Amino acid sequence: MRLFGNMIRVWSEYILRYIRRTGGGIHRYEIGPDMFQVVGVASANSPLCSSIESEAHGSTVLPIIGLSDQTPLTNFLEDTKAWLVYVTIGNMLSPTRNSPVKMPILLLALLPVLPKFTGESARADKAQEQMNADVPPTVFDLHQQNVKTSPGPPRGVMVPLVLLVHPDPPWSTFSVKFQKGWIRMDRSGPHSDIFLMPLSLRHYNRWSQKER
Amino acid sequence: MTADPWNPFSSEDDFSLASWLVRTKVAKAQMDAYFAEGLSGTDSRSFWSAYTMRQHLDVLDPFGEYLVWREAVIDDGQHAITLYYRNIIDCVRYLIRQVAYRSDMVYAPIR
Repeated sequence: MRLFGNMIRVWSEYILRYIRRTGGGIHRYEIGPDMFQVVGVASANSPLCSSIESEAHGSTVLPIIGLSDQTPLTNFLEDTKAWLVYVTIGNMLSPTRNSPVKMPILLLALLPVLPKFTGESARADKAQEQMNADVPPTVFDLHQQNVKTSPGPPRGVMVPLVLLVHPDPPWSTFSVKFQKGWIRMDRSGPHSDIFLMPLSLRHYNRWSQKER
Repeated sequence: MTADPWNPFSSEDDFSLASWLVRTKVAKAQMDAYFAEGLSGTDSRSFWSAYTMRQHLDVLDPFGEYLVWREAVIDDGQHAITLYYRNIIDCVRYLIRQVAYRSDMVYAPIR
């Protein structure tokens, strides 16, 4: 048990050293044709760095892997398409994670493909995209969670959430860039109730949600 | 705890068929064809398609509470858009706790 704890501590310190050595910034942020994988961390002065320093001992940094795709909804009469967002974690051995029958990839969100805006909305959208392009990506936060694990006792897990911050309040929360546009990751409370939302939906002024 | 050990399946045979279909990795389309052609042999089956079988399996999943769907409606007065999502933290909890992945989870680098 002590050996395992030491291994985790060494791993945490390795990550911290790597962040410092690279001088901060996201050191790997891959966007492929059909998926991106977030493996990278942090600006050297970001809250992430101090979080790792203060909280990572005995914890596990948990990489989240997101995947997205677009699919037609054939159950509807119109030519409706939806945007599927999947999530899995990097702690799983890759043969299992990539297995088509073990189902380790969860459907996280089903987003509608947005209608095309015209006029003032479209101009505002374009201006917003330009502003986002000007903002350097920054890892913003870690979520410390105590998670019950399958083989053993609860384990401190640090979930890196995520990634691009833009400075216009009240919208300055988390954002992730997927292949075909922007998705916001907002949160309504600390460590909970995180949801995804297309960035251009900022024009909508009423937001309601419920459990199904 | 329900008195029927095979719940939500109707019988041991029912459960065994579902178990066999999952273990042998029968494709969804083949399952649907199997039931559509009446090969399941009895009317007392509690499932009659791959979809209804999956619903039964979801009931048995002890960590299914983590996979609650939420629905959101966004409206600007001209457009109303519905989207569906899960809590990403709960999804991570599900993956970490799931017994099926027990032997495949690692918490330190391995070669």
